[in-house]
Amino acid sequence: MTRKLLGDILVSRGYISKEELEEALRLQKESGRLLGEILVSRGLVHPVTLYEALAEQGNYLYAGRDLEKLLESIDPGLVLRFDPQDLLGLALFPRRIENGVLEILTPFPDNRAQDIWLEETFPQVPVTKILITPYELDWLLHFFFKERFLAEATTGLFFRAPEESAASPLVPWQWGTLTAVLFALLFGAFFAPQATIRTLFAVMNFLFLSHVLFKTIVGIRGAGKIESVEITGEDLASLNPRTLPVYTILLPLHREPKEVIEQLVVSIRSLDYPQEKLDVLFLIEEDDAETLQACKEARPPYNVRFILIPRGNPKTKPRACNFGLAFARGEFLTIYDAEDIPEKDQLKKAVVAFSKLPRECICLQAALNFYNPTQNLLTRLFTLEYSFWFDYLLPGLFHLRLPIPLGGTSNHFRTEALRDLGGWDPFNVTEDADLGMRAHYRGFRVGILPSTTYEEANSRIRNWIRQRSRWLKGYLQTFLVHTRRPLYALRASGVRGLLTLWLFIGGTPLGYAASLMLWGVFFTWLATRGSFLNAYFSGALLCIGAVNLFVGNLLGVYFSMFAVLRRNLDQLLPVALLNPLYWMLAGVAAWKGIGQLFSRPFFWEKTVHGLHRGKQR
Amino acid sequence: MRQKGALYGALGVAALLGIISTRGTPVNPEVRFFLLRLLSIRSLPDPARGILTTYPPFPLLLALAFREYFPLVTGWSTAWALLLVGVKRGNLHSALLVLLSPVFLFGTLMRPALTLFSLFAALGFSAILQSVAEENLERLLLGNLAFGFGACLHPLGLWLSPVFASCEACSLRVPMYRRGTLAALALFPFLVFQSITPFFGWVYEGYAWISFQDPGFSLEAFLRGESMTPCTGNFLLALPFLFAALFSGPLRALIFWGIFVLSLPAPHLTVPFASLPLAFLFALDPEPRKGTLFWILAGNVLGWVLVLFGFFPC
Repeated sequence: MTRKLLGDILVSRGYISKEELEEALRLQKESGRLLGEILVSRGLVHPVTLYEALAEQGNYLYAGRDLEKLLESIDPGLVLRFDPQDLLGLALFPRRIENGVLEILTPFPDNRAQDIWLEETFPQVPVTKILITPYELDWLLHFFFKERFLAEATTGLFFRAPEESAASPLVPWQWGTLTAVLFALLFGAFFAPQATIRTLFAVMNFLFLSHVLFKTIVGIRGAGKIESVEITGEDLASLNPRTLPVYTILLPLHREPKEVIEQLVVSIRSLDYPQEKLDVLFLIEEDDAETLQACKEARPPYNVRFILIPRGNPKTKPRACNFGLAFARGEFLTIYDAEDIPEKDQLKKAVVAFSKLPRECICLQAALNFYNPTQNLLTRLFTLEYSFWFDYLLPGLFHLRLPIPLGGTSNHFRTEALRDLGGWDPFNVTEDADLGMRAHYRGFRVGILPSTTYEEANSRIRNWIRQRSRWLKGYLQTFLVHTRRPLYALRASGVRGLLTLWLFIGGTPLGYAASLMLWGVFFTWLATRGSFLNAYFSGALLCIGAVNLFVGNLLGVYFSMFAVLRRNLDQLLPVALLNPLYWMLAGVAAWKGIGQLFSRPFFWEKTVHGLHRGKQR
Repeated sequence: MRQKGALYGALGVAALLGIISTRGTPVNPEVRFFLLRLLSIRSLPDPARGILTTYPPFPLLLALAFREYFPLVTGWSTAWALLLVGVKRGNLHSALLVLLSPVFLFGTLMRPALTLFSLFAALGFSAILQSVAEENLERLLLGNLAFGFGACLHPLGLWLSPVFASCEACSLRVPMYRRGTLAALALFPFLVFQSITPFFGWVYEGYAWISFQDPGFSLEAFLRGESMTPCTGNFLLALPFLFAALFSGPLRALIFWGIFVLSLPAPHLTVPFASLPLAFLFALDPEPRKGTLFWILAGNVLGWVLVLFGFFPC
């Protein structure tokens, strides 16, 4: 018997017209996509209708549409005997065993891997496949396994590798060392105040100078070349849409304004990547009804799935991402923030780069920059900082083969490698930086993708301090986690890797904190012309302090000035001179972050998005 | 192999410097300036203040650390840095030829600060030339920082900085607004380094230009020794760099020797050893021509013959 064609079924049922079918078939011929996907993506057919037609075509039963009824028909005892990761990977769900026949629910019944797995797992057991939509499969998995997914997302890394988790900010020996240093300082301040303060200044100045020199070397190296791999226009043009891999996009959303969600949906639609190959996951906290409503109202494309993150602690972005990772279907995966606007060909560039780079390169970091650089003074300074960070420092780290702390969003991963790494640490508030370090210690590399994602620069000081204090607290968490095993760190990353950990990861928050104190000393010194500070700042320490003051600030300001060249932001050049004020603000944030590290280590200070739009209105 | 060559080269130069310095070269104004200034600084309760309020501070720091051996140390450091760059750029032979020329050897013994400055200035100018050829920001960044650091080494940079900024702004084919950016980027490090001494003069002594006021060891005296008092002839200092940018090959070598010869009998026209930066430019050139090397070698031989016959450039 000849099999009916899907298009004919849909036309005969009156769901689509002949003209619409012809247009869809033409698109199918061009792109190699499945007809059903094209029809759904163009909004011509509802997924449920499509699956009903597919059931008729393949002589299957369709079990969806009425979820309550479907739920009643499932045997929970049978379901819980399965590993949810197997079910996700193979896109199937066990329904029940009736009359000795195992009933399997699946959106993809003609899957050879599925058949092999079923034969191996249930030898001699007859199996019947029944259709459901991919959305219904997700819903079932979420319904039955959300506690297990949540446990994995929250405590998976902690139980597998507690030494890599920031669940305990400091381990006993770190507490001991910190306490000993504090006691020594107190003791010294009481019995030999002058020598103690002098020593403290000396150590601060020396570390600050080392931090500045490290950043200088990395920045200069980064000025030579940005990308890890060259990607030409021909490379992109030669990509065959039929063979492009499925790409998962994780979008953690929390208390996002409606306008931001609308912009996000436009950004997804604009991506130059076959929509049916995009697996977009909106990760929404269960108690965030407003964002969920805004997402529904934005009418996202059919390839967007809403994943509700169950309530729990710590309520952080990495926890949501870990939960979403369990549902990811793509060979590659990336993360964007709600307000991000990636360059349209970024995913294609990532596919090309991954194909050219060795397998050890498991992640690519795209550059981040802002679409509101000139909104106010703060956004101007922020833009200069980001331009230097992503266009000079991170490429410099790559070319010097040093660990790269991933930055915020637009990190592209090989999904399997990410799973092998254990995902993100939900207790670390800069989980991306931590992941970059962890990848390096495990022998993997992070590359630089020559593409930019545009974000919203924080335009309000309090909001900026909230965001920055979280970042700096997270860097300290990362520093403390990776200094727990110094010998392991030394073996895994060598002296240069260790220097990066100390001078870059630890040095950034501590440098800002120290600089605020040093600026205080400097202004006091200016006001008093050095009379009472003579005892503390003289000789070699005075020279090092002078070098820090002039050379340190010169290099910081100068790199900011240089950063304008690559982004053609020459109008921001004079603003770079105000960087010392910006660093003082970062110093305030650093102290706030240090305080929070001990009082609320896992607290995620939410950055308010959409302020740029408010200004526009 | 090249690193080994660089090492032996530097050791050879150091040995030569040592032999010549032990023969008792006459004390010249530059060395005298630093050594005398050192005496007054050492008598201060906090010598660090003295260094920060004296211009130029870096050679003074070296003088404080190595006393009368500081020309030797400075020269050796210059030679080492030049050889390293020479090895990196595949131009070790040119670097060695320059280091073995009487211009370098007498320059480093009698004008150590000027010699060190010349290397950094040459690095700056060479970076511009390379940046034009390779469209590489790294070179520009390093060149600007190198030239900027020159501000801590010698006042000659004051005359050269406008030339340096103009060269950078005009060399690259960029829009007009970008030329302004490049000029600002070229000048910024120099101005910051230049402001160290006035800043500390203002903080400690209440007057930014205090280093000009000390009659015995004043900057003015130092400048006089270097023919740096304002006169139109000082603008000739820029000429070696302009020539270096405009000409190459044997013509550049001819200019180099011409300036050297001119600077000896007519120091009022140009600073003695003003050809030093040009010599370093040869050594930093990534693609030396055989003709150029021949002319430098010929000049070296001639120079050493003159030295042997008693024509000391002092």
